[in-house]
Amino acid sequence: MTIAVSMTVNGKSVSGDVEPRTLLVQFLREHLRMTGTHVGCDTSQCGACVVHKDGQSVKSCTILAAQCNGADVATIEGLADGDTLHPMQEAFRENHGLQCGFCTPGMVMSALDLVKNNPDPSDQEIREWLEGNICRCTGYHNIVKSIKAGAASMR
Amino acid sequence: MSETGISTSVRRKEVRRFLMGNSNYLDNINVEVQTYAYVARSEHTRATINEIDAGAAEASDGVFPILTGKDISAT
Repeated sequence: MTIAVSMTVNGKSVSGDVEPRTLLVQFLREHLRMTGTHVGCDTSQCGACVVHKDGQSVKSCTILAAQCNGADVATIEGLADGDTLHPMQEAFRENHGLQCGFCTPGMVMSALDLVKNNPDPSDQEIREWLEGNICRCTGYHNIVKSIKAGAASMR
Repeated sequence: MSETGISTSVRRKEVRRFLMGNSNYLDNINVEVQTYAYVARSEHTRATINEIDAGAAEASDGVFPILTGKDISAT
């Protein structure tokens, strides 16, 4: 049995027939072939799969595609304006906010949700916010620095 | 950055693709004939393998091929 879902992803209307159990991240990666959003753990811990649903960060491995029917979804692929990086992406580049890059899409998407509600977060607030995002390169120091810089250039 | 890069923080050139979601990790590869390998391990901590019956796996839909120690045996 499949169900029809349709949603907006990075401003573009998309639809597909999926099994009811299909996760949003599977819909993105396997149906739409948008592999910018990563699956690091599949158990809601690592945050590599963070995307925005109707402007709010969600772990896309923890929400069904069907629950996003009609939603407005934003992923890492939609942030840059052509070749020009989004200020938050640019801040990660400038501040060495990534090493292997696997957690980066989730870190950036998560950071943007923080900054939306808290335009000038302290180091402590950033670290607390990143509780749900794991970096196995352990590059947290520069990730925090990047988010601070990104927030500053977005103000 | 200085001409030599010595004593300066050098910006990496390859980070753009990671930041834009264009990375190419193994699990991002998606080709037409792609199959996935699954390693079936023993349920017993210590035991002697007398035989492996892969009959049920072979009868399953879409399973191809099933390899056991016999297939890589050097003797």
